[in-house]
Amino acid sequence: MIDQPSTPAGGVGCGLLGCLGGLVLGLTAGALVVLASALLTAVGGSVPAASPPAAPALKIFLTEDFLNRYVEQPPTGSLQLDVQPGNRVQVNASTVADVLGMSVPVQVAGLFEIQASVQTLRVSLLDTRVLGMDVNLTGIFDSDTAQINQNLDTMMQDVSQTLGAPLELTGLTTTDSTIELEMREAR
Amino acid sequence: MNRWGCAGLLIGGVIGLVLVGLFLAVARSAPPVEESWPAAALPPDVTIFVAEPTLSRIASEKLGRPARLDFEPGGQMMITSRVAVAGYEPVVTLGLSLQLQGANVVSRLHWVKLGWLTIPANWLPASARDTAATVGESIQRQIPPDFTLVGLDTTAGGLNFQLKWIGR
Repeated sequence: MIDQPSTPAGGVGCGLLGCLGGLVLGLTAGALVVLASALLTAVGGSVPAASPPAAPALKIFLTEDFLNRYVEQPPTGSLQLDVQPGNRVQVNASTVADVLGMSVPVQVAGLFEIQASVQTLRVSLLDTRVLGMDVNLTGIFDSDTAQINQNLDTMMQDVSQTLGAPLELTGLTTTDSTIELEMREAR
Repeated sequence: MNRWGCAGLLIGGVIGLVLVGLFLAVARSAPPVEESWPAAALPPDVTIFVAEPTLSRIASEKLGRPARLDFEPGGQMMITSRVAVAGYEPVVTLGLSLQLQGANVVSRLHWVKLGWLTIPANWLPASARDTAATVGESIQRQIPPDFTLVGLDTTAGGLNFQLKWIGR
């Protein structure tokens, strides 16, 4: 085969055409190599395991304002919660006491302690005072305490169910306006 | 092909490969995700922080395969899992942003990482971007019915929900 002498114009044209073809080939080949190698890397890779939790799995902050709106008010009188530091909550209740056949309005203050056990929260009554009267009202909050403890059990069960794993309480802190709970997944 | 054509092919091929190389230099690093993150409109009644490992476990259970969730401040969320593509199951990382619009969680896909290659979301089909939108809807469904979402915040360790009680 004999090479035909090419004209300068024809040579430039061939060069440009070759350049275009080379560009297309280079881009296509490069893209294919890139995609294939990325895919191979991805297929051979593994999903990194979630790092073990250094912090609690769950933290819940409840505000005093919310608790006061959430708590059910008694049919007569009113109930006010006062969150205090040291895992304490004071319940101030305005109610009516039957004294010598007469209904007398009284202010009752119950000081409760919140304790975190592994599975749930427990509320216990520390002190009851009746403002301005010397009346023994021991037991006035017994039914309320039982109800609150039952509600706390239900709340913990609901949270566990939502997260799909049993939870353990690892921390409880109160300030003068919030309750903070820390939990982790039970192993 | 004459020598001009061969030279052109060679030069074109080199330019093509250089262009691919330049693209790779850009594509190796994930583009930053910037979203404005408005403060909670109302003071929250309850704030719930859920840590990354717990969210990863929940996502793995929902997807039925191992998944890992990572969060960064400013609404960034990364989901790493295996995805079925043309008979293969490569490990893919989705780079999403989360934003609260009203009381709704909106998730947007920004990039997809396949092995070492990062592909911008606008190069992907609309169906892939639509699938990413379901992430926000899934988060939304976790909100208890008695509460409405007033704030959402990501940290390096997890996700913060700020809720307002609307029960009574």
